[in-house]
Amino acid sequence: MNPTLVLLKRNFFSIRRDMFSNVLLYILFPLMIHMFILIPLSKIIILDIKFFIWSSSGLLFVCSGYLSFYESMHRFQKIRFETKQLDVYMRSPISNMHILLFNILTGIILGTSQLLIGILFLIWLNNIIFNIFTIILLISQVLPVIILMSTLGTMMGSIVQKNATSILINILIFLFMTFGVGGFIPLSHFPAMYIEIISIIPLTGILQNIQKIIHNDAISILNIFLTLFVSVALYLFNLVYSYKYFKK
Amino acid sequence: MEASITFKSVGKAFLNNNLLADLSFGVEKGSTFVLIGKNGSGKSIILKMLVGLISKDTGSIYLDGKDVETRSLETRSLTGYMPQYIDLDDEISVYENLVIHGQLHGLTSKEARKEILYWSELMEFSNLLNHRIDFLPYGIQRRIQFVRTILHNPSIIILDEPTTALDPHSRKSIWNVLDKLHENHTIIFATQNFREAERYADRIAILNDGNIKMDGTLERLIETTHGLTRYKLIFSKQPSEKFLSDISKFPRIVKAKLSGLELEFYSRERKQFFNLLKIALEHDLADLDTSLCRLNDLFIGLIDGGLE
Repeated sequence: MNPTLVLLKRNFFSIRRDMFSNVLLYILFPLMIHMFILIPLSKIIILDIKFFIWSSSGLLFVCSGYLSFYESMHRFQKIRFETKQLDVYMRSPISNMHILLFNILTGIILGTSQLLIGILFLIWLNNIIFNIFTIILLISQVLPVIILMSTLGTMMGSIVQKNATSILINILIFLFMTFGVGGFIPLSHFPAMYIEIISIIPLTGILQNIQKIIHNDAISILNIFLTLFVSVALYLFNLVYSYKYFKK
Repeated sequence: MEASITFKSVGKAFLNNNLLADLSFGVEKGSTFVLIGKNGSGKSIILKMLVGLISKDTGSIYLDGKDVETRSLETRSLTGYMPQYIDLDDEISVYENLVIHGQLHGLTSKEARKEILYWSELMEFSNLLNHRIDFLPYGIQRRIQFVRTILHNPSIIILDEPTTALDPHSRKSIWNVLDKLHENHTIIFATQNFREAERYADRIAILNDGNIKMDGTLERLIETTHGLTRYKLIFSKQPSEKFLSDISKFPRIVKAKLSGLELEFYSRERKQFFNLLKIALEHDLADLDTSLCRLNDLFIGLIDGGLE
């Protein structure tokens, strides 16, 4: 059996034990964002279309992207600095490539699960009807975000040891994803210079694509490739870092 | 005889401290080799280098002729390593821990299951396979770790203080298995338990200041003392200062050390001992004990700069 699959099996065993609490958290996460961020914002932000419909793309983007970041960072930090399972894996005949890949894949699987729960949540809460084609388009746009955030999370988890730093990084990533790229607050509310900078980031383009899919507008696929390219670059950096620093 | 483990001029420094300096030794295939040394002498580092957890600064390390740096995936599949701390995965069950480890080392799910059932029965934890690790006592966790080490039938078994803090029963179970595996496996272990080292190792290496100071079979090491005997005199009252100064006048009495009411010293001349005994009898001597030098004496002597 491929070592990456064996390690994924290990994570499946671990997740299976806390399946109920995990599913509950995955349901609560979009619910909390809706209650504590979207409802208050809907009273302030006036748009041409219904705010909840417009912000639903942001909800999918934040929930699945942030969750994959959090899960992959937390899991890798734990195996490297807390439980020392990384040492156990590293003395097995498997390469660092497999170890990093299994963690990234775990983040992707959990992020995708959150995405599906998020879509169901939107159908239930906002009465938005997605057909299969729309759901596939949504997944094709959010998946690169999940891959990028999971790769970034794995990288952070392999570098950051201190809990306080890790909490701060998580807060920053959450704030950036929630308020920084135009998911819940339209970019037109930000200074022109900030809009210029943030528009360069492929994540912003992907978020706009998700908004367009929900509104049945045409999308561009360039941002998907840019996001995947950044993910591969981060993965390669992490691989080099792992060969240099995982051994003492 | 073919070498299973070879260290060639290996050096390792940490925070400007030379932990290992120009270390060279070999372990023959199918033999049991023990490393003894004081805390921080580098025993664990040597074992971790073998499985690739710590990299060397200089020199080369080979397992079955393969370099552990350049052919690490091959060498890692040859080894089974048990660290001195518990490193079992506490998020999954005992069975899951073992099956994941087995599969990472190339066993199929079916093969892993067969091995787990066999070894868990032998090591008496088969009824705990579905339990989570963190609820189990230390002794059982160590036995599980030991089974994990040998589950994939590695040709080189590396054990770092495998029986420290274990009850006699758990210790015995581990050594019984190692005794059986000993014939067709190379075993290298580090220990602070000299009785285990004397009993189970074919070769003993005493490590000090980053290098091997003595290396050989127990008989060979004992021979180097040329019949030196350890004497222990136990007094019922604290011996006087005069008595202590008298001892220093005996030229062939070495390493005399008084701790409490016990006086320990080494000598290879019986006559010297009898003369000292005569004086000791005048100072409330309660009991005495003599024994030929063992590993423990050699080790303490070596750490203190030699027995003579």
